[in-house]
Amino acid sequence: MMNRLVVVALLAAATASAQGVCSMSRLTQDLQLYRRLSLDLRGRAPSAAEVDALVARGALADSDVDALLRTDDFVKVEREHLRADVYGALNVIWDTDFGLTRTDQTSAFVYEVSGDVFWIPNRGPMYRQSAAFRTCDLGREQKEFVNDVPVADPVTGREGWVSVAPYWAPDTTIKVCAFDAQAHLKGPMSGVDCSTQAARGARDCGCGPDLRFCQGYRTEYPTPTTVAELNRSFAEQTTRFVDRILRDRRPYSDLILSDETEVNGPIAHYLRWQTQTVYSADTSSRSDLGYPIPALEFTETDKWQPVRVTGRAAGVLTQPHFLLKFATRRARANRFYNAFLCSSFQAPPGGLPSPGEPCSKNPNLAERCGCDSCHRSLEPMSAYWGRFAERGLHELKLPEFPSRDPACNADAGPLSDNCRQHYITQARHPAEAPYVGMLSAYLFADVGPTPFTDAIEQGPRALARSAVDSGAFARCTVTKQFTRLVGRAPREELADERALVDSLTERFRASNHDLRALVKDLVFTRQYRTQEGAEP
Amino acid sequence: MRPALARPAKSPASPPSAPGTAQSRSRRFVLLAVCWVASSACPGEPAVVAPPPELTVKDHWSSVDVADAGPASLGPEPLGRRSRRLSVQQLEQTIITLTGDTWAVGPANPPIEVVPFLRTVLGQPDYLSEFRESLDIGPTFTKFMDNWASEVCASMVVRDLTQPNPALRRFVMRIPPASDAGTDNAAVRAAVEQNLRDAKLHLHGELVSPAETAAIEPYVEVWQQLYLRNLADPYPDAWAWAGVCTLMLTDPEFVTY
Ligand code: HEC
Repeated sequence: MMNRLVVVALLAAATASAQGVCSMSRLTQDLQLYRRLSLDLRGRAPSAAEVDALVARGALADSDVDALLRTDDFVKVEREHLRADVYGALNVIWDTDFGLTRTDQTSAFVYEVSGDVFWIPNRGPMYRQSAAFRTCDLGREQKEFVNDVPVADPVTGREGWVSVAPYWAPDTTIKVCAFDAQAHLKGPMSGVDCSTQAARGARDCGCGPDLRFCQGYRTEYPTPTTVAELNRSFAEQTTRFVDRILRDRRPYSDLILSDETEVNGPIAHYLRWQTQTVYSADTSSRSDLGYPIPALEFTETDKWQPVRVTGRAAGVLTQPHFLLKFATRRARANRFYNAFLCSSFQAPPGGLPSPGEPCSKNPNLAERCGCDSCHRSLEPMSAYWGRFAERGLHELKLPEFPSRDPACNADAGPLSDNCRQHYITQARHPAEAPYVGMLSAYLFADVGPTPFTDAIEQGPRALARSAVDSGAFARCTVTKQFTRLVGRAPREELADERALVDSLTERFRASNHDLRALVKDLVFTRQYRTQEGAEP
Repeated sequence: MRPALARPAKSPASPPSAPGTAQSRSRRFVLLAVCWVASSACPGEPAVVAPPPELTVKDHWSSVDVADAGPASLGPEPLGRRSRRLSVQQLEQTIITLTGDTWAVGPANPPIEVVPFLRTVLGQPDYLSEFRESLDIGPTFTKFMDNWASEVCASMVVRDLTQPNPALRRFVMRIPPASDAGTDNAAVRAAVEQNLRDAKLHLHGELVSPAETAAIEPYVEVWQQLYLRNLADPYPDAWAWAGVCTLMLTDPEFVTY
């Protein structure tokens, strides 16, 4: 530790001497450095007034760096720096089984372009008993109901529309086809729970009270939709989380360890009413999210309530945005590997063996020749997300999701949606037979030199914890910040630069992962303060 | 008689187009080259090149000594910082800070902001298919940077020339006195030079002392040329200042750091 601090000091001293021989005036050098610092630390060059003030002071001071690090813009710059690794753009294609569309919307589905009546594109044949009638009769209001279920015209098979105040704009009313608008929570005839996937086949289930089970266009047609609002909210949930860590100067490692998050109106509405109904977006448990859903209405888009998540929460690694963007266990592990360990999977030298080779028949990816060069590491790492729904955003908790569920066996009878989505329901190879009925992450988890069944139960926080404790997370953060500030990756093959990265990593860890302290260290290195490629 | 101090009636939406003329353009390129050389910084120490460590990849868990096949040294390789172009966001924020203007066009009210449309063209990733910002200074970037600079410069200069309070001016801080000769007058020249020193300081972070003229001489020349070329226009100095400003915003000293 001591030695390394000396290295930093020496490098800083070297900077000063290199600058001494330079023809540029001392003040101009400071001005240039200030411009560089300002651009790197808060995303813009200094204003004319700031430049004039520096000229008046005569030299750049340590406190100038601190002032830049204290700005809100520093938070923004660092948040954007994480974007490519962690959040990017959320482009989830939400299923529209329960999405309302307006009849005057230009869409491949709509053949009757008239009026402004909302309807669900996919349910017409079931409601109206004829594939020809996707929408109701747009020309009349529906008056006749039996058991609260609309009575269709006996000749055309179609119903009229009704007026509803939708949850996304409760102060307005819109016209909705009466079958689609049905408000009951339980089908009066079928007895089906209309808030679940079972409603898919029930003619007496609609969008529920205030249309709460359905996605819809908001009144400021055509955009944004409730889906866009939800995607925006999930993205903002993650950026708010990151901002909080940076602004409050919390340990940077909270990024992958924290159990805190915030929920706004659209997310609360989604979690409360739509996680099971919006078929295929996320159909897993909503019984135990790990926190009570805040009592917020969909319209409270800017109201964020902090929640503490019990269970396997691990910062961004279990936030909805991350889970939806990286939709499978392997994708999540791969992203973690890239973003927080600065590593990437490489194919073995010489490429993969032919699929015709006998060794290519092994069903276990961690052992199959060629594939094993990556999957040997990827499978155990993926297992940490073994209790998070794939293509979903929920944790698969006990007791609803036991590691082995005898009912999830295709030979034992009809399978539930939960079984189909999260369990191994049949053996596609004799070696898979022992795993039938188990959560899918358990496949081959107990074989090989390092079984990883524990990882499944521990969750991603254990993975994050080991990366933080081993220093791998700190070193990767140093590498990324170095690359961001110096404009190139550290050249670890050179003893000097390797020692610098070592030293910065140790100091970053010793500071309890204080990102501002790390950035300050970095901008005082010779690497930052000289220019590459200059002739000696 | 022609006043050197313009009171432009032109709206900022119809900027002088001087920077786009062929002559000013070729001059600019010469200037760019000059500045590029000038901007290379102080020398660093030659690198200590370690013998290449053995490349061992045992598994994907342990950290790995990443090494290339050995030093392929093309001369000294100081471990300095690599210069780069400003990102789109940095340009946007910097230009707003320094000029007080965004690039907005059109008869629409409010006018349409152009940069948001051009972000991906200028290199910003969309995070769907592109994850890394392209910081190339290619023809597309150069073209839009030219347009961007001339738009914001034109409106800034027009505002400055009509701003009686010098404290509120951003670029033409010291408006030269009127002169029949246009530019020969010593007082005019002094004011122009002083302005260019201010601009160099604020836009490029370069302190040019009154004794040094080399750093601003090319700009003085461009100013003169543009002024003289636009003598037929009621506001030749607006053209001259907008041209010089555009030149400075498209200079590597401005678009790189
Ligand atoms: C270069 C490393 C590498 C090699 C070699 C490799 N894989 Fe993969 N594999 C990955 C990564 C990384 C992912 C996760 C990709 C992602 O981000 O979604 C993956 C994902 C998969 C998936 C998708 C699983 C899912 O969760 O959706 C399958 C199936 C798969 N690999 C099979 C194979 C097979 C079969 C082989 C050998 C023929 C093989 N892989 C070789 C790295 C590799």
